[in-house]
Amino acid sequence: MNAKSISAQWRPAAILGLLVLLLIAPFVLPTYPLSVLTEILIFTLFAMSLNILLGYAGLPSLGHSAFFGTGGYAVGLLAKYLGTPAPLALLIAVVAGIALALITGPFVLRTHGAYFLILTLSLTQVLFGIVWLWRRVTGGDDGLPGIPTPKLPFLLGRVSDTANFYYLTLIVVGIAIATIAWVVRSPFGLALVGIRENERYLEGLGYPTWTLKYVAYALAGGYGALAGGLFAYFKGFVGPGQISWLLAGEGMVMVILGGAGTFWGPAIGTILVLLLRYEVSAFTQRWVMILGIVFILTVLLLPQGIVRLPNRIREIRAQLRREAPLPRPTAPAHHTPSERAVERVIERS
Amino acid sequence: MAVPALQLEHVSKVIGGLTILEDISLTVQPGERRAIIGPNGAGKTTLLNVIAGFLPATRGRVLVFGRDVTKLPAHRRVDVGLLKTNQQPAVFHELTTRQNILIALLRGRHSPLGLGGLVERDREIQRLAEQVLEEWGLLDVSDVEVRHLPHGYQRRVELAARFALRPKLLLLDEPAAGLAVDEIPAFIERLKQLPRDMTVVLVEHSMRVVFSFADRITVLHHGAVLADGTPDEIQQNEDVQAAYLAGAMRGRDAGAA
Repeated sequence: MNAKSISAQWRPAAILGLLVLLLIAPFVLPTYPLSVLTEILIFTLFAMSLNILLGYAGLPSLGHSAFFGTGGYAVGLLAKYLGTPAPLALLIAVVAGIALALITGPFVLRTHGAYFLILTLSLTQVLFGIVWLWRRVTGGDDGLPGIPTPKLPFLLGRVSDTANFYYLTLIVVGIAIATIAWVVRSPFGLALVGIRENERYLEGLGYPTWTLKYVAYALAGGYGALAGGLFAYFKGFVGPGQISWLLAGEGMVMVILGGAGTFWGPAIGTILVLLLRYEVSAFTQRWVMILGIVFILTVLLLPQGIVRLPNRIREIRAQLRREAPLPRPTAPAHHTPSERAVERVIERS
Repeated sequence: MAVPALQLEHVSKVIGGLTILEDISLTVQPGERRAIIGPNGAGKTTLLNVIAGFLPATRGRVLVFGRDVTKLPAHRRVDVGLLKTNQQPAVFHELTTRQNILIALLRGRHSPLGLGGLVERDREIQRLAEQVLEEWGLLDVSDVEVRHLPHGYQRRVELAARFALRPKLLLLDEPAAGLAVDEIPAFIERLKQLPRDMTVVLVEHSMRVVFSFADRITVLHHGAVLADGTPDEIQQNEDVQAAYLAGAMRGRDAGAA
């Protein structure tokens, strides 16, 4: 707890520093790393939106790519058929994501644990099937290419196109992340953690838990779709891969690796996964294997995610000073949200 | 006569073809302390869950302060002033003591969705939480995650959170279970200090707690009401003696008392 209050004290300074770094990045980084950074921003939003469900509310969704893809296809279809300007298209993407959540919520939210996981997975597979087969509209497995990259008008001609889109992404993702921060620190956010901890106890305190989950699901859907819309612009393309459950699984890895139920954990997980993908794949095709090893080690040694590493080091140092045996991990493994989600899966199967 | 705090009218509960509760009718007056006792498996906890709305009644009606709540979900019953504690303290283990209190306080004040404002910036709610923590002697452990606290403390956190919501009808499910023998007298004192306008329904195995606290006692046996009366009447009742009490009095509680 002490460590937490110290870090809370430095939080504003740290966030400001991070923001400055992100703002000057285009002047320092060459084009390629800058586009990787853009992708990191987009997937951070994706992981954070999944974290609302998986980390805060304890709902293990394996179908979050359904929202990412919905946002992507909203943007792609609007660009291709109507030439809708980007701000409006992104807004529609968000609305589409929320609408998908509101429609599917009553079905998937009847379940918990493994059943929730399977139902969300099925949802994304159904959408994948529609996109794949409805070739006339969605382009099938060819997807929709040639989505024009939007640019910030006031930066036109002043910075490169890559930097321009980077700034656009930074603004959109920045605002979205700020609102997520507000949501999870509101009474609603605390109630979501109550759901994760024990839904029934929370109901006993007078909270309409189903409605809370429904709203959380819709919010996560909206943010997920926004990330998907940005990604479609980023790639200039949207295809079935952006709706595939593999992407949902990758999002899950990002969240758990970084630290489910923590605010910055998903960002750290995203950075790690994408850096592994782009850096390690430069010298071996087997980057997924490396990711697997990193994931296993993290879950074993830092069950609450990499974001807890400083606390863990501090604990170990404090223990060494006392020359006592090493402490157990900050929490028994079965107490972390992600582990508990998995545990619930096992319990119910 | 005043509207009863709690009325059960012919309540039955059948789970999977098994009748857990059969035709239970009882009336609890406002301010009354009612104990429900009975051997294990008599249906006491099920009865509390039916009253609190965690289990729907198969037949019959549940009225709280004259209002028919039979069809209301558990969270809506909190609005009529009904709150329940659990055998295992109903606390959120990964949250700190303070957060546990805050969750309860926030429900009392905000709209259920409560998206507005940041919890840590809400001075009023933080002040109230501080008050509750002090009142319940929990200030020392206010920033400790509840899972690290001993059972007795967890129980206190649970009760403090419920009292923060000012219940009018409080259901206590074996609150003394898990307490050490030497903690029991202090716990009885605490129960006796509950505000007199609060109605309390207590399910408890510790006869020491029951007989020093209850105004009236209902005895459940095989899911039905076996007897209903003042503690003296219950103690004299031969059916109760035969079914339950003698054993219970001779058994674990004789030692505890």
